[in-house]
Amino acid sequence: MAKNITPEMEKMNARRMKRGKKKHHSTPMRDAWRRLCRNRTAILGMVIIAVLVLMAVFAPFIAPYMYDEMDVMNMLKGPSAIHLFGTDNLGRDMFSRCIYGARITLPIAIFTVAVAVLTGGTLGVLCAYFGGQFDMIVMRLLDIWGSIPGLMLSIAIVAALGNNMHVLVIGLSVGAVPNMARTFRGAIFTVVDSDYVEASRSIGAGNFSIMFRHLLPNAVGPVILAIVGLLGVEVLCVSTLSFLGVGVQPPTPEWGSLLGASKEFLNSASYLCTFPGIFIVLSVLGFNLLGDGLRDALDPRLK
Amino acid sequence: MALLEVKHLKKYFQVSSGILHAVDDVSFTLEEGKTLGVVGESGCGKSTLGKTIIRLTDPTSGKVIFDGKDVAGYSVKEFHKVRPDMQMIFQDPFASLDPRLTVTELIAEPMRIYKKGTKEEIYKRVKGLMDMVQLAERFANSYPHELDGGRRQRIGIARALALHPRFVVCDEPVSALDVSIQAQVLNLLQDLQKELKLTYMFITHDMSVVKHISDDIIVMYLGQIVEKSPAKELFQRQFHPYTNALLSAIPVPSLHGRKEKILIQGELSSPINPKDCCRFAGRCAYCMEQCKNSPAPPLKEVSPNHFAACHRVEEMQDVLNKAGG
Repeated sequence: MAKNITPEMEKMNARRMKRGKKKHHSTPMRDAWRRLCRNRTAILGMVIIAVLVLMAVFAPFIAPYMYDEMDVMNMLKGPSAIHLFGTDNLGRDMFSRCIYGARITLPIAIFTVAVAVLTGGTLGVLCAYFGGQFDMIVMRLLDIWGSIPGLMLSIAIVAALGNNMHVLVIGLSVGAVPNMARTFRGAIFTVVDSDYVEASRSIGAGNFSIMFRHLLPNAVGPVILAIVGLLGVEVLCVSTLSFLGVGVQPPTPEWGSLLGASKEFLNSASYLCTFPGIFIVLSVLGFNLLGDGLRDALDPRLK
Repeated sequence: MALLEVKHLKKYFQVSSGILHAVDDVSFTLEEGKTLGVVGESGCGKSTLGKTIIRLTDPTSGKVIFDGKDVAGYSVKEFHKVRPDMQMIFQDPFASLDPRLTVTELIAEPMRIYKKGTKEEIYKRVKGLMDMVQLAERFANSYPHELDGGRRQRIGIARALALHPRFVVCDEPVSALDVSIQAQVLNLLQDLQKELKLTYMFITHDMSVVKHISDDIIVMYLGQIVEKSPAKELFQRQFHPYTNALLSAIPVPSLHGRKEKILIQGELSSPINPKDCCRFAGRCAYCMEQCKNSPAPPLKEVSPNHFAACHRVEEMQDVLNKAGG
């Protein structure tokens, strides 16, 4: 029988062997990643975010002018070859200002989310793990906290503590903490009664090790989803605060403050508000598309 | 000296409708190197008994004397030091392994927690353990969901043995497995016991399994021991009607007709706020007025090392061993 093996069959076998060797062990996370890569909208979201991040990182190389460089000969000029997005009332290049704006808006949004996740997330995990009285008290306090509109709270904090990046980050994250805590708590609740938690305790694992080595990795789906969603929301919040004049102050080119500065010229130079607006919309869209894609990828029912 | 001595161990749970007596005044001793079978139907508190002994839940009262020390009163920190000696193999190998860790990580975890040597030493020992539980090395980087039940349970066994325990609670370690694999895992457990001089507390509801593996058996009903005896003796004669009924449920392959089964009537009564009388009285075929009205019968020694808790224990010897055949 062995003589009947044709060269084609041998080739096929070789190919199969190769594939077998390359085969990765599938984990829930790796499966989710594969599903995510098959999702076109999610890819679009990731591309948008990647472009914006690269733009922020390489701003000095991309922007043709410094963000505060004034061209007094060309004030309030519309888009042209020299000034792609036109110039503002002081003759500053809007294209450069928008590019540099990514360096302000995105990091603030990211740090805000990081602070909210660290504080809210930790509270949520502790609540779900210890439960009982502790959970009850913390969650009721968070309910009260959450009943104050986030933006109002942020404005109050920034107004009280003065205006700089740290205060802005803290002020913005304060509004997001209750929601983060609730998301983490809900996610951990679904896994906290698992047998493997008890099994880890029987081999001597401590509370900390169980929470962060076993519970959190197994509850990561809804958590990632909430984090990505929050990024989009925080981009909007940063811009809103700056638009209202309590956030980043001019001449620093933050997208929201660019938008705010342009409102006097809404009729005469509408391009001034168009371009920063487009960047805000793009970044929020990017995070939301990625978030939607993640939700589909992380939902095992859609396998 | 006995390795483990449990004295009047109680575990009550506060529930909304009262106090649930999960383990109610259980006492036994277990010699080093022996296997104690704990049998009873679902909900009789046998798993809770195991978990209370190794302190996955805190006992309500009572003593757990392990190697001469009462560990039931230990604080969490103190117990952490004796935990390596007392390990547990869990019932469901599908649920008791963290799905996000590989086989190596899972088996290394106890050694990592107790800081047993460097990374290389730990991995070397993981290999040794995998070999010991007959788990092929090629599974080292697999995730538990890629393996079948028998292999997963071998991971569970390797984890339990990683810290060189002396006493292992086996909580229905084979009941979630296919019958063909059950025998393999049982044999493995017995081989390991001989090799490592382990002491087992083997919790199960499967009478044929317990017969195969135990030296002594305790039969539990609603949180209490109803009968306690060397295994061989228990299968020859029973003194409690409940044990008798349990044993009659073992299927016997025979060409000559069926063995008569004793069916227990009624439902398991509630373990929440139980009346102070014999807890089996409501379902017992031999129940008398006395059984329902007087306090629960204590364990009486009916023959050497054979105890039963029944008001009519003297008559039962003749009645049951005729009825049971």
